[in-house]
Amino acid sequence: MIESWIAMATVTGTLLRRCSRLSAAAAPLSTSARALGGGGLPTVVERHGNRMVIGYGFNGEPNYIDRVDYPIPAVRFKEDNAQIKVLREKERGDWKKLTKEEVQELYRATFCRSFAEMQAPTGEWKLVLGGTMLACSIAVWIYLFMKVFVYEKLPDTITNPEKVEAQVQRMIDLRMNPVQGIASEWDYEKGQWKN
Amino acid sequence: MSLAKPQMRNLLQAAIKKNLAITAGVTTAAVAAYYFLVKAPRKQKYAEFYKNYDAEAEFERMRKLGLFQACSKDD
Repeated sequence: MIESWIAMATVTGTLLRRCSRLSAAAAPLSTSARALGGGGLPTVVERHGNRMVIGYGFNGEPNYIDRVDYPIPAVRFKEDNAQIKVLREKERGDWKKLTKEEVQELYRATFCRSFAEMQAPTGEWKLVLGGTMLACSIAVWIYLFMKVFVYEKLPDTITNPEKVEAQVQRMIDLRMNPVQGIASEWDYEKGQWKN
Repeated sequence: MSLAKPQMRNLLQAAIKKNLAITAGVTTAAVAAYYFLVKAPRKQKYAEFYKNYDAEAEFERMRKLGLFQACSKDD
């Protein structure tokens, strides 16, 4: 049980780290005007390395992120190498000529996770449920502490059976809630509670 | 390599329509259940109770038991 949870967390962690880490080379300072500090603007470190920019991205920055609602990130996931360049040329032709492995290779060069992998269940609900139940149990312990050490004794009017009986008898005599409430639970012919 | 082509457009509209249909169904079921399980029996019970209810007799009975503050128990 716990082993499977740890395994799931490890896999998720590895997947997240894999998909958001920087490119292999050191992150060079960009040569754009913003980075050179024109006009007192902050220096921008562009970390996408040699990865090709393929679009605007969800916020205009050259970043990579897996998002279901913004499927095409700003940069490709992997940097190009010679093998991919060959496949890209082949991709410009008829797609039916590409083998399954080549399609996979092209996909994984541009994207980290497929939609199915992105939307796979994380099991986070177990953590949330467990944490909630833990908090509730702590609350119960706190209540028990209060009951034992803080609250005063209950008043005599509700702990003394004679007084309670007198109060209930009065309710029955006055026919309080006679349709669906307490006075309807009394059997008036037999002089006892109905079942 | 031959999956069915997924739906490409109007995903939000389709989702909204489906949600509206489910909402209509669930709320109708909830209201119907409340009506038939709670409201109708309660109405019936009240009707039965008050069909032969004699308020004066009940009042006299309670008065003789001495349960009122404004009316005395003696005749």
